Amino acid sequence: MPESGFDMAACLERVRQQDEEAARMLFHELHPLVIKLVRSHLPRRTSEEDLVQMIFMKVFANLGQYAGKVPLQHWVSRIAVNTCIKVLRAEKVRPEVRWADLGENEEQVMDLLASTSEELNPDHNTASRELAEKLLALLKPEDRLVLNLLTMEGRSIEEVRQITGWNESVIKVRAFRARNKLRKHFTKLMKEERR
Amino acid sequence: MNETNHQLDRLLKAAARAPQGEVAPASFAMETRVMAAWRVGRSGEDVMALISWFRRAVACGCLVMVVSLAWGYSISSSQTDTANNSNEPISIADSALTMALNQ
Repeated sequence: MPESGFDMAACLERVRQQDEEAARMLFHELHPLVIKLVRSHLPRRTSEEDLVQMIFMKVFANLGQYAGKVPLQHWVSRIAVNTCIKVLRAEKVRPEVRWADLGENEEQVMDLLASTSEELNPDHNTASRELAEKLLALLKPEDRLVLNLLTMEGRSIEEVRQITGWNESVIKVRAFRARNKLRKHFTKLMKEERR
Repeated sequence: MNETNHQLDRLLKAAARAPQGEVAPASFAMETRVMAAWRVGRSGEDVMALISWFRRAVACGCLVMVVSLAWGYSISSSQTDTANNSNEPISIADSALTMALNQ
């Protein structure tokens, strides 16, 4: 979470008093946080900028309801995550990943995973990420979110709890189920490779 | 199953190590769009505040009307009572006179 010399409480107070300059400062302070979350959970058919704008509109519209019980960054994270989930749900159709859809580098990663048991070479990190994102896109928005936060971003259960507002057991159960679903999709893709 | 789990773990670990794209500062266009939306929301808030003030004013007006009606009613009923009370000796005298004439 961004922690600079920025006085969040004072800025918030000024925004509530309709100070446009303070609203602009708050936007710039929160932008990196929002953009990171949006990139991790970006729905396929929505542009990054549209989603960021949507999130900031919600943040400013509901700022009066922010009671200060949790840090503002957590509150904004929840709005961002919930907005992404809502848009992802609206998309409904989740794509199917077939072997033919994979790029050359992604095919190479699959080959390496099947043929060796060693950790992948750092050169394959980007292709691995693209492949993992394709597989994660097959999951339900909530499942995708929890796996993304826990495995891809390496966040703790407590951090996920603060971002999503879900309780610990919900997070653990959802992560377990999501992982099983992801494994099924991965196995299916592996079988296609072996044909 | 274990083999698949291991493969998936390796994939996810490699994916997590992939460099994240740099977060560029917000573009001017984006800032303008967000601030314009904020301004629209702010004017909406002003309208909402005005509507809420108007509602309160109407409620206060209704309350004043009810109180004044009740007060007016109580005054008029007390005046009727007073009028009734002031007519009583005359009506007694009138009925006594009528009875005397009839006899």
